[in-house]
Amino acid sequence: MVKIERISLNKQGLTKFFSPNEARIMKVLWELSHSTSAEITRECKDLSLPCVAGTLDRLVKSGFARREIDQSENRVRYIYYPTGDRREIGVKISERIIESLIDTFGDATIDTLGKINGRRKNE
Amino acid sequence: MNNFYCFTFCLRESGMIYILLVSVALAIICLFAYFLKRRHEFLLANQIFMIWIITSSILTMGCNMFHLIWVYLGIIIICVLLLGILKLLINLRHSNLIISSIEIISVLEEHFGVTIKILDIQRIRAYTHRGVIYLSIGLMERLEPDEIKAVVAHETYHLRKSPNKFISSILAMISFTFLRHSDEYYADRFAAEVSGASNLKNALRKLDIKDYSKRIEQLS
Ligand SMILES: [Zn+2]
Repeated sequence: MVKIERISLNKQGLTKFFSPNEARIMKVLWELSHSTSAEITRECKDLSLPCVAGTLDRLVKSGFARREIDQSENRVRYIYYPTGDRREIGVKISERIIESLIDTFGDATIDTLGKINGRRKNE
Repeated sequence: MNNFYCFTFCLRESGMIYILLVSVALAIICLFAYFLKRRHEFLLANQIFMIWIITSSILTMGCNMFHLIWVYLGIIIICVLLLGILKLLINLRHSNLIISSIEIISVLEEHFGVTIKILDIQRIRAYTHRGVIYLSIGLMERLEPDEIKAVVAHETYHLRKSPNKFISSILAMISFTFLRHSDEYYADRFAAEVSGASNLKNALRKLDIKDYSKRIEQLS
């Protein structure tokens, strides 16, 4: 299950749900489909390797990325994968948030969802 | 003041005062020798003298201060228990992080005659524990094979030559002295000898180890 550390509705795009570094790294992971911490550091030039490695670690712990151990070319390293494409991650985040809203507001949330859905169909 | 008179009186009566004075002198000499030579044997000797001084003075006093023995025994037991619990926690934390062996590591194991285990974590970790060298994947992915060899050489030195951490921390606690200073300098020198100074320097720099510039300086 994905873990959302914080939500900032006043921010733009992915940074509503991710820190700026997490958002950048998620974009790179979606773009390359899989990557190592060294490759991501090359893509995000102003981030240091320790910073990228730490952020990747957090993304794995919160369920947005997973990693495998690669032993090719006589070296050992992690290869990171996103746990889903942008849409799939969107579904996971939406589920978490809506479940939490229903948990707190119950029918009010369900009614609102129905209304929004109806409005979208009419448009 | 009463206690103080009693203390010196009892010690003189028993003739222990001279033995104790000699012991204190020896303990101080050991401490100086340790600071000059940086050999942990001297610190160990100092700690043993300290324990001897504390226990024998408590035992010889005998003037209504007998309960001090129990206080001191209590301190020893608490120290051992605390460190034991700490060790257990460290062991438990380890058990689910270790992954099966990796090919390039078996070459190093054979070369140095040691056992190496891999920690499945991104953080940078290299240390010895219970006769085993632990390296994290986070560390290995940042280093070239020759630099990993330098790290393993450094840890091999700790494994073979450095005193047992568990025993030295208990001794330090119950003798009211301090822990041994780690012999990083000797471990670095050994690593530089067997795997090349430049490899060790690069490894220290890449891993951004605390005091790395000072350690690199000491090597040259
Ligand atoms: Zn060391």
